[in-house]
Amino acid sequence: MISQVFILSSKGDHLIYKDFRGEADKDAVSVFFEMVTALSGDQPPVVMSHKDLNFIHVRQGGLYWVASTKTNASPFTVIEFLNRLAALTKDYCGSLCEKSVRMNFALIYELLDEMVDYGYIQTTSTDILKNFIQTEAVTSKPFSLFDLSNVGLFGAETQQSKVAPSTAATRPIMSHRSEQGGKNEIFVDVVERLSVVIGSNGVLMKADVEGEIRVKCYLPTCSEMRIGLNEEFSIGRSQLRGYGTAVRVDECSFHQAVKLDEFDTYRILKVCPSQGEQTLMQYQLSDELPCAPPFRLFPTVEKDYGSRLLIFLKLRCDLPPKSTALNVSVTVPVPKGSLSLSQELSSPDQTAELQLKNKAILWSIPRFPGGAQLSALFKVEVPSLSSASLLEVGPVSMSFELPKQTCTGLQIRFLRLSPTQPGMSQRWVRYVTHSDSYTIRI
Amino acid sequence: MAHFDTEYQRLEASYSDSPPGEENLLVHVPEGSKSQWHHIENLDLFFQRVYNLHQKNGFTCMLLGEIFELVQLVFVVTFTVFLANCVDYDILFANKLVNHTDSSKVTLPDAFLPVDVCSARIHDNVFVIFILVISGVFWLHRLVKFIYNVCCYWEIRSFYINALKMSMAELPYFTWQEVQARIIEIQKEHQICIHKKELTELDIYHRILRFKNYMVAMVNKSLLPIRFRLPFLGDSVFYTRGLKYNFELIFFWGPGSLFENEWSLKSEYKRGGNRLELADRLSSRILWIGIANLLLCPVILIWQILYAFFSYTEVIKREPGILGARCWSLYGRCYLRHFNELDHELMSRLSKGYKASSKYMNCFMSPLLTVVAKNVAFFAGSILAVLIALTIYDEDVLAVEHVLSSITLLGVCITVCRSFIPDKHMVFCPEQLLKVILAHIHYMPDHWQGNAHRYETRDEFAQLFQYKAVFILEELLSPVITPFILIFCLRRKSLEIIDFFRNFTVEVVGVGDTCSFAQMDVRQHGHPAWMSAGKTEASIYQQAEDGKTELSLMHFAITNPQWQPPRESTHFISQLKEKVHREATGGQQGTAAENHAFTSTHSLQSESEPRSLIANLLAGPPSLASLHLGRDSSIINHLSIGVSEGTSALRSLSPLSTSLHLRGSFPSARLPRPDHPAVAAGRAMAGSGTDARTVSSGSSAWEGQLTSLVLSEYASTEMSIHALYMHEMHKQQSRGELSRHTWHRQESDESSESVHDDVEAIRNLPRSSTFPFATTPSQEGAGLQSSSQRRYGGTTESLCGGPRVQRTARMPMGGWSEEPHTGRHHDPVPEEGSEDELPPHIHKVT
Repeated sequence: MISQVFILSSKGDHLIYKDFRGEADKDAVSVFFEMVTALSGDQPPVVMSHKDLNFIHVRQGGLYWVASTKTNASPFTVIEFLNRLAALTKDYCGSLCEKSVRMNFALIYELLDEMVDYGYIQTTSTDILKNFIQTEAVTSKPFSLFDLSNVGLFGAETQQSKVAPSTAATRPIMSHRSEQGGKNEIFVDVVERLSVVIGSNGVLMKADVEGEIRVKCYLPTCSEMRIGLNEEFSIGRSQLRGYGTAVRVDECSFHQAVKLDEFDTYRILKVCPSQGEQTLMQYQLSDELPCAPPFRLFPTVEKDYGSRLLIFLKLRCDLPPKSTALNVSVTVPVPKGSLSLSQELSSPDQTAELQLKNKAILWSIPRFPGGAQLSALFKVEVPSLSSASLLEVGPVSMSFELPKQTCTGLQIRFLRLSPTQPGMSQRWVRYVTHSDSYTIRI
Repeated sequence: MAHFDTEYQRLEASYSDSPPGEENLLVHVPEGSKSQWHHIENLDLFFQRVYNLHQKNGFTCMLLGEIFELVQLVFVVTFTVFLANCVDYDILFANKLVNHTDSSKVTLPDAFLPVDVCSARIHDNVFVIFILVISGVFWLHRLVKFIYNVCCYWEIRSFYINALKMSMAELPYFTWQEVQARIIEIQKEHQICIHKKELTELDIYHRILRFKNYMVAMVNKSLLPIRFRLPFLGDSVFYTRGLKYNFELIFFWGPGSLFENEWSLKSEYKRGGNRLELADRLSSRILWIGIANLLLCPVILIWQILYAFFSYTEVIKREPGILGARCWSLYGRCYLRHFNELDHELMSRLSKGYKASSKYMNCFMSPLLTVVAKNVAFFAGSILAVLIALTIYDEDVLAVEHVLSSITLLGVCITVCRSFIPDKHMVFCPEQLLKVILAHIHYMPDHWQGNAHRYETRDEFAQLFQYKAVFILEELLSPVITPFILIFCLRRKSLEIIDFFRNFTVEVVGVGDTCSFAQMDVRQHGHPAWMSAGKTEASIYQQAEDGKTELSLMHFAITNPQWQPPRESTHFISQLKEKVHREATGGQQGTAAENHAFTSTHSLQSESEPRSLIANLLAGPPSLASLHLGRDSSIINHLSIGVSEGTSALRSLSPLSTSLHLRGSFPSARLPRPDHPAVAAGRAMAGSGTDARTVSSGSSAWEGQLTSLVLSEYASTEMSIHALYMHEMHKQQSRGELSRHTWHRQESDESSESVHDDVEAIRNLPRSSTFPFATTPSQEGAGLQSSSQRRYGGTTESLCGGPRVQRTARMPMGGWSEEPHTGRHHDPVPEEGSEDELPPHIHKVT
């Protein structure tokens, strides 16, 4: 039994507030926010209680999604409900951010009305809710910019149907009345997260890959979808299939809707997707990186005359020459008491700044082509420079996004819908590897 | 979803992605595209047919040709049966008197047997019935194929008319390049190929020439058993149409061949794991096909003989000289063919080289033979003259027995003899001629250069450029010899073949499995001795011989100026073009400045008669003279001379005259009209290639006015210059390498450290394994060295480590031309293990 549901922005603004039972006071919201902000550290506990009111919250999209209850409800049910609410909001509004929630408050109230009745959860299924929700989503951008079937991106006809911008998948599942029918599209994401620790001698000390296959489906009706993975895909260490470079993962888990009867022989996932986003499969590979680590760092740290610290970084991108890393940022911790930074970077689109709060230099590189090598020289003014403070430099951590790359080599061979949809159904796939934590010791 | 900047890619469907058990599902064609040319299942066949229809000048010509072929077949069979069974030869030879005596004349119908007798004779003869049945089945098969073809080509015809908007009447006026450009254009609209949004020229070439590229690569790597060392004849090449057909049957399309369908190699052949088993399977297949050949041998032989008889006898009677004439042999066509070169391109190139080649071959008249021939011709001529004189006096002489036949025979005899008598005005200049030939044929083993006057060179050239008579003879012998080659020679190579297909097959998106050499990737298959040093990463096994990769790349880029090569290749091409341009202008201006007299005379000459060899020779002396000096001088100097010599050789080419005309007719020529006509002419000559380049690269203002036909002529000239330049460069480099190599050997004769460097040197040495037998002394030394090195490298593998290991790991395949004792299962032991762990050499190329 849920008493209240509310959504707060990161600054504590009340975006959505819904009281189902009238049990709790209205100032519960501010009480909750005070509790959250009072706690130091990054992660406040998920379940907190104030007097006899229990708050359960999740953070998604930079927002607090909170439910409060007076009874002893199952916290996992409520957490699941909140996650589902966030997912539904995302499906219906397109993207999940403060702005979209603000703009679509009516839609979200309508959703909440249908989902919860007097504190009891009724349904969270997209397919059922679809029949009751009438409000149209307000998207922040006029979506016609990405009207892919008619106009090419830059007027070039050749490009338009090869690639779609990443924002193409962030549109509401309910189409506008004005553009009848919308488009039948399916977006498949293969996202892998890398956690890598590289020792100071360049040896891989830890390498984990966590990946998932997500599907966002805009098809109004679809009986069955078959997704073929690489035939060489193998699970566990023992079985190696095929002649090719086997795609191996340690373990994987599937969404409950996925039927696996063809998975063992043909590596086909069968699923009847409902509209909206679903994570079909998650997998992980630990202590092994099938490809070379994407970045290598060659650092030199030395004391200049006076109180200056020279940090010379050479960063090499070991991706194949055709691919590029995006939004690379390198964080170099610097000694306490660092005052100012002067830098020499190799191209003007890179930036570097000294973040005094974190005691770190943030070097960001918007595009980093594979095979390239960038270097940067940082001169940090540290008044109390001693040889001990040299040890405070490092380890360097990086964050990046590698488009069109999967570390494990997992690929979507095909995606087939049956029965075939009338009209053009467009299928899109996106492979991304991004860094969960990428640490290089100096 | 999460906030990534990564774009979505379209998930394309492709025929290879259908999961097992679903291949037969209907492919859903979206309604959006209404054209019937959307998504063509077998693009290979489709493009081949488009090409064929273009080459055969339209649908009607093609139809007519095929119909006549069918009729020809019927005619040959019936006529032969008729001759064998229904003619009373006694009557024809007048051994027997005709029974009706009203006239003394014997008419042809008299010699025919009556129908009932005739049919009775046929019925009685089991052998004839057998032949008739077989040929009937064969003919029906041809007929069905013909009808099928007509349907297919009708479709292609409507493709030409509706999609490409070319009517059949004007098809002969379009060059293939234009057709191709239109295909690429309409791909955007019709989506012929669904795997790719846009087609490139290379894709189309790959599809048309998929198997030919494999054959060219196999000949290039001397994988096919077509070269034999016979006890009396010495080295000889035997490669006939029958043999070629069998090779193709075994590798590409026969039952159980290596290819699954037109576009993909069977997946088990892509794996290295069970190569021995696959090789066994292949060799047993070859055995069966060889046995089948042996069984069918009589039938094929009879057919060949009949066919040769009917098609050549009349020609020989009319033009006996044809037997002495030469043609490019089948092997030559394979050896000289670039990767990705279409038939018509090859043929036009070879035909341009024909004149020079036959001149070159005619240079080598044996003086002894000449004397004999002269006298035989004299005697035969005098008898013939008398007979003709008598005939003119009274034509009853003709009625005398054997007079007509002896006149014919004597005529043949004289013509044959005359072909052995050299032209009185012939000048012996083999080196020059060979240069001219090289400008057209683009390939030539290294040791020919500088040895053009030797008989060995001539004999080797004769393998590429054989007598027509030899060609016919080989074709006749082919049914007998082919089974033995298959059974005894090809079978031994089965493991190498399996390895070849595994290692040199790449999967290209939108094209399917194709020969990796045909990618013309300098990095993967370049030969360091052919200007791609530093760019290539190929092991010896992976290098294409004779600079085939480099020359093919050049050729393809020049013939298809619209094609955008990959980055490394672009770099290579632009670098080379720039060099050639610089050398050509620099060298030529130098010579022009020095030799006004020569150039002026020569320009006069060449304007009046651009093809003449004399113009060539006139321009020759300055370059030749300096060539001798240049031998020891610096490379640059030498090179410029080489190129100028090359351009002088090119003056005999036809497009040059057009270039002169163009220059005259277009007042917007960029060069200011010079006051010295000689210099102008010289520069026009020198720049002809470079002009062609600027024109063909589309930067010139003339472009709109030049038809693509003219462009293609320019392109061939430009390619000739490049080929000459690359050969010259190669010569320089190999000479440099050689001297360095020998020097090094002298320096460190006993030291064992030289091993590594020797490997380097050997790797860089020009090696022509397609002509491995007649090595020059230095190359023999290198060969010895390398073979010993091979064994040494095998044992020291663990010591050296690093990149060497990989090279040695591939050596069993790579060392076939050096290894003196290659057994069938000659792999060293570690190879087995490493082979399986190596990633397969199949990689996607996007």
